Amino acid sequence: MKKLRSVSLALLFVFVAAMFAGCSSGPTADELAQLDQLKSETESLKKEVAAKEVEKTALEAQVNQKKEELATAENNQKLTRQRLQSQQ
Amino acid sequence: MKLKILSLCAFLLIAATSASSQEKLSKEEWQKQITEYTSQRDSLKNELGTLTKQIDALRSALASLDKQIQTVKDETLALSGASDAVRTDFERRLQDLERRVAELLTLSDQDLYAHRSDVDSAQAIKDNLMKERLADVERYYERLQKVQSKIDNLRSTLAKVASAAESEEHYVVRSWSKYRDCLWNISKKKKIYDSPFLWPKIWQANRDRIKDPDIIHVGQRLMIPPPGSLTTAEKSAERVYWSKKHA
Repeated sequence: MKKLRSVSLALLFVFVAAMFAGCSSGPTADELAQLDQLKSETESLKKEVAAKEVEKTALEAQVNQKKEELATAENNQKLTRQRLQSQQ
Repeated sequence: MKLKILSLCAFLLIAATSASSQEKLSKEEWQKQITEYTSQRDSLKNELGTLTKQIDALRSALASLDKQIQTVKDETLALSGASDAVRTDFERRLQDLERRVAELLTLSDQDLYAHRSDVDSAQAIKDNLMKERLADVERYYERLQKVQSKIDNLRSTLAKVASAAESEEHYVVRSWSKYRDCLWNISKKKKIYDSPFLWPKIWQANRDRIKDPDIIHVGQRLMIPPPGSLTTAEKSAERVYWSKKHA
């Protein structure tokens, strides 16, 4: 009987200790919500940045193409001028 | 026995509590993550701002390049001194020529040979266009050069067909009164096609000599193309002939 009581006491102690360990001071629900919001904001920013990178690459390609087009147009103008002058 | 059951319950309780405490964040960990994500967010915001500025700059560069290209093109056209009306007319004639040459390129060798006068007229149109000042404007000059190269291809095909035609058979037309010579009967001859229905072949191969297939003249030397089924142009010419005949 005495042995059973001491065992029960020991178990009670372990149980209380475990309860304390589980309910130690963690962030509040509001704080956890703040973290979640921050995470989702970061994710959405990452997506926006990726989309902008794609847009920028496409625009850079377009600009290069236009530069080539301009160079061709300028060269054409030069050739036209030469051809017209040679006819005069 | 009771002791064993109690011990088992206690073990399970501790295990469950410990597991749930592992899932939860400690205050320090939360703070660490908040700092980490805040810094990441701020850096992403900066990056986004920089990218937006770069994109705006690229857009404005694009617009400016478009403007410059248009200005250079306008200036080039203005060098010829041609008015808008002259330019429009030149452009229309050049487009017509390009379309005609493209159509000739789709013809079979035999059909092309039948339309060889069209190649000559395309060359004449191109030569006339070349005499105009607008032909010196690079954009038109390039197009005219391309047309010339296509006409040259057509001419080379025609030369091949003509040399093959020279080695082909010929038939000299004899009188109707004695020999009953007409395209139908010539085509029917065993040594020609052995089939009267191929007469459009002879007509189309000799288009320059035969304007009306009902009229051929004694002594005319007709080229006889190799036998084979009628080409699209020959069929179409035959259809036109019969529709005129029945009209």
